[in-house]
Amino acid sequence: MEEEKKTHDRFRTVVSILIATVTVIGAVAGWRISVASGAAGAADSRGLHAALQAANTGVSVSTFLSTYLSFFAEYREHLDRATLIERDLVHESNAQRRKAMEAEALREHSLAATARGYVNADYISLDPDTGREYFDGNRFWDAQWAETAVTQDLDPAPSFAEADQARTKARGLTAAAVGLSVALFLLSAATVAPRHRMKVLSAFAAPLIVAACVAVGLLEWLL
Amino acid sequence: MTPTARPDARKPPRQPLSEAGWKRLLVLLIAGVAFLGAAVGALQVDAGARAARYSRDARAAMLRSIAKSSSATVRSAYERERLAAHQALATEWIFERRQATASAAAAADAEAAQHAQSANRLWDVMQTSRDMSTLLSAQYFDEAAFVADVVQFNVDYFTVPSVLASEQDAAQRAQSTAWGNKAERYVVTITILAVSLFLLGLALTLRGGLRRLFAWVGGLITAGLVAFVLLTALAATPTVPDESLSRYADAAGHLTYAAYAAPLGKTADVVERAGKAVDLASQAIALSPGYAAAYELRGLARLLAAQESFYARAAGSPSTAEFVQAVADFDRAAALGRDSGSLEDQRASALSLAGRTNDAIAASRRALALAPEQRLRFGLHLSILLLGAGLEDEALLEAEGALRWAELHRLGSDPVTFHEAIRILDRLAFLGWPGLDALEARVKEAFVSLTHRGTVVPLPLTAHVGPLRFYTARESEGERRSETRTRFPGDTQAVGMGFDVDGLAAGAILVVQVSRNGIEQPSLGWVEAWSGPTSGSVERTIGASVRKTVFGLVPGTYGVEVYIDGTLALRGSFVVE
Repeated sequence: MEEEKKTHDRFRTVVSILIATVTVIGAVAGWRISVASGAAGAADSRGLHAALQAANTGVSVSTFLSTYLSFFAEYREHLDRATLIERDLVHESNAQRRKAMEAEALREHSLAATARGYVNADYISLDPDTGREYFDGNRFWDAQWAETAVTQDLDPAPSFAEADQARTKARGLTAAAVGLSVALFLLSAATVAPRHRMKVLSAFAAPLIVAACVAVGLLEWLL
Repeated sequence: MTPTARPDARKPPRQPLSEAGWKRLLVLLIAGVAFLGAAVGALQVDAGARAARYSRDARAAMLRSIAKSSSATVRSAYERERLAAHQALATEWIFERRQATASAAAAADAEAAQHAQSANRLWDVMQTSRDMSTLLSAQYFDEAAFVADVVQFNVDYFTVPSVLASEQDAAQRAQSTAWGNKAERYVVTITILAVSLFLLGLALTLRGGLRRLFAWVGGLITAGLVAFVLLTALAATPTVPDESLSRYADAAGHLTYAAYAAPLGKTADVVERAGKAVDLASQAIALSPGYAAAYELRGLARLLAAQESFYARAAGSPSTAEFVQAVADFDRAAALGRDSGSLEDQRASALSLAGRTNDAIAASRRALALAPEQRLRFGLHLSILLLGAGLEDEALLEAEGALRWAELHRLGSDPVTFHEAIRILDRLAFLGWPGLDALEARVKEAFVSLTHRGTVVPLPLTAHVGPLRFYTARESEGERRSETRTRFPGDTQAVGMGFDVDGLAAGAILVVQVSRNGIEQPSLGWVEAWSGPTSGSVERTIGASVRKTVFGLVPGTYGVEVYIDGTLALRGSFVVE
């Protein structure tokens, strides 16, 4: 009888130690939840900053693109006019008229050259089907974007993904904390339960504690 | 022995809880509250994380929307520039063709051939330059009429994308708010749980009735909080599927087009586009039955289509049923949380046309209460409703109040509001309501007087003004102007206009407004401070601001109104065939 009481007291001590351990692990989980939430917020801020820079870059690049396209269109119009005048010039026999047309072609060529001076010539390409020049807006956009991306973060997606991952971690840690609280409940019940139920309740609590500890460790390791 | 007197042998009398029993109960309750606290904490973390993510996504979407909108503005400027360049080429082409025709008529064959050759070159340049612009593509450009559908381009590149981005942003923000509210409720729950935990902990140290009281109160609070948490966790958050948002944005595009076409008198286009908007908004509603904005948009589209048919007095004039449907949509939108002066104002129009005049007036007054900064617009609308209800004096008083407000709030009184009110009054003329003409004249005079004199009160007309006459405009002075007429041939460059005055003071502000087929043509009108003799004849010319061009006056019925110091002094009209 005395021996049985001693065993029971020892078990009660174990349960008390378990309760204290669970409380400490719960506190650690709470700390990690707070850290993960903070990291999520910081990653969101970085992502939003990148989104702002991307928006700014987009407006800037499209403004330049539009300007180049505009001058290019002007250049091509004058060039087309000059080319068509020269085409008609071949069939013109009247000398006075020829002279006037030559002057007109010269004027159009000159205006074309003036407009072309305002176009970024690096992006003037030749269409292999028609043989005509065109301003490669897509290439200009990609190049400008890539150039800006060297010095500025223009992609918010990685930061947002990082934030989402931190939130997933916080959620997982919270679930582990809930598991710990269930274990705490069972252990508290065990402390006031009759002897034969004490072990049963503790037996239910033990795997929960282990699972929660493993989950916390895995979440910290993986995420 | 009667059955009622028999003692219940199976049910022992209730024993009070022992000290150990109390301890067990309280420990279990405390552990249970701790578990509940952890569970609510988990829910709070989850809700907070969702709220933060939706909020972040909303802000990111807003930034993308601003970037898209700004880029679209730049793009639009480029497209308009290309259109202008193309029309300049077209003008040159028209000129060369005319010259060719004229030379051919004069038997100057060589010259005619040169102009024809030049025209052909221009035509080729026009064709090759079209691939530099989306606005000049076959989708938007009518090659036969040399007209680009700029409105459709703006709808496609501005309205639909920006409305879609805005609705996505609103949907994300609604989600963020809903989850944020949940998170806040969980925080409140945890705070109250702490009180419960405190009471139960205190009960462990007490005995007797106070222990029982604390245990009961702690238990009841916990039970109440469990119910509260369940209700919070199960409450739905507002979700609108992307497909529904997309249909809504398309509907907004059609409605924008219809709203633009309405003042141009394109009734068939308005009805067709508004009908498409109704269909698309209905699809958006079918996908998301709680989509308040879609109900409001559908109500607007129904109202616009029905109004157009009503004003046009077409054979298929709408029954009040169409207005009733619009009212039902506005009511549903309001029931779902939309509450704005604009909604109430539109609802008032629909109620009025549905025959519910008193409700319409009440809704219009509510619109004014909700949006006092729209005093001019909503006040003029209310005055029209009052006129329709036969309350002429009240209507004119209300209009006067709105106009006085406009004088005090110049920046809030844009010309669009005046034009819109004048247009409504003009289109309602067929109803013959008493006071309608007087109200229209008052609004017109107030607009002109406010624009050019800074006050809505025009000066009384003291000068004697003769009738308005029109004649063939001459380029040289001194030619006879006695041949007055009201019909002019199709190639008319400008029309001469004159009237006699007696007692017109120097410095009087003369405003001439010209409309074609009921639509004002600002480029044909003008303003001048009178500097001529007090009495005599005023002779002016109505024509394009740049003279001696290849363009004449566009065929149509022209209306001319002459205001002197804000007072409508003369009216007249002529026709260009």
